[in-house]
Amino acid sequence: MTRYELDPEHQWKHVRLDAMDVLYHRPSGQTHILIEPAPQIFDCLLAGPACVQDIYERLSQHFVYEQEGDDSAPINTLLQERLEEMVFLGFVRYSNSMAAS
Amino acid sequence: MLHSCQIGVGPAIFRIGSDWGAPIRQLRQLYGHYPAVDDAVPDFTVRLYAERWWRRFVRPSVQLSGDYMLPDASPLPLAQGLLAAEMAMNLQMAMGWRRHLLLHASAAERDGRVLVMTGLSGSGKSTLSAILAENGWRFLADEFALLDLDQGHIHPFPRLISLKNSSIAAMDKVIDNKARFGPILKDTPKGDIRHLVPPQSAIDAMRESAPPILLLYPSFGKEKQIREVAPTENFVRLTQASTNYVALGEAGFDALTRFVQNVPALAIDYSNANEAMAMIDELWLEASR
Repeated sequence: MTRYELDPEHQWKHVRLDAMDVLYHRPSGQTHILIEPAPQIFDCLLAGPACVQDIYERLSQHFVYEQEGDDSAPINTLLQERLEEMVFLGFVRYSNSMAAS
Repeated sequence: MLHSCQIGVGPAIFRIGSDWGAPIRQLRQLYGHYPAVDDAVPDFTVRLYAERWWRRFVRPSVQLSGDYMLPDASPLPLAQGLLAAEMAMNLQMAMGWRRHLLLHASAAERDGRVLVMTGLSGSGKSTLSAILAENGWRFLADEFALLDLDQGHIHPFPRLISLKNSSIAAMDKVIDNKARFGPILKDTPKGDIRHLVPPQSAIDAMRESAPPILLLYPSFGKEKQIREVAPTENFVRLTQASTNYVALGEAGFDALTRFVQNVPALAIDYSNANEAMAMIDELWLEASR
């Protein structure tokens, strides 16, 4: 299963402003605004590499999902889309770490 | 160039050259009480020139250039040569200044702390700063507020105050010393413009920075209203109000996030200058506590 981690070279600077965060990415010189659930995903990855299901479970400790029954698939799809966007922007990357979350 | 002078405004020094004597004479007169910087190395060069040699004499029109220039800038008639010089100086700052985060904002200081006002052209930020300057505040800037990258202070950039349209008559009533006014420039691309020399106290203290404690987004011509501007909205609007945020990279990000986190921001709508001044007094009192 694909695992994600924050860029270990720490090529970004992250500031929490209100419901949104701003993030400066040093290699590109671009500033990004993170809106929900990106700041929450970001926080989860601060705890270490994780797959989508790990993030789903970490987030469930703090948030109640609006989902039907125990079906986590729609939420996981949404989380994966945000993670792939963060990989594209350069401050999250695919992890080689095999450590369990 | 045939005619030239050097002008220092805040931390920036400009060398201005011109094919005509009139704009330089006007600059020398209006900047006559600024500290002399004739022997200093300029930060920027500005040139006012005739595109064809005969345009010096026949319907003379002023083309702008300098270290930084806009390729499609339209020339101005010689009667607006002073405005051309001011526009070219602003352009150098907007495109070339790197020592501070440059905010398109006016600023005034009181009791060692700074009020910053930003907004679109016509919002009244310039006029309000000019009125504050005549009412016990130290005028810092009407166009560019310079945010220090390390300390977070606002550095003065007290160039001539550019009064537009109805502000010209309003300030004429307030200021007795008519020598502080430049010529009325009719029918410029921004309407009628008249330059005003800031109070001497502001010029004398133009190298003294101070920390900001309040940011306002004034908006003229609306019913009185005050609302908070959320930090993220504030951050985005200030990146748009800065001409060098991208160029400064991480230093700009650090300076701006610190400013947004530490300085409360409010949007104020007002219908006339007296109303705005009363609102500013009240908000300033709260911010100073």
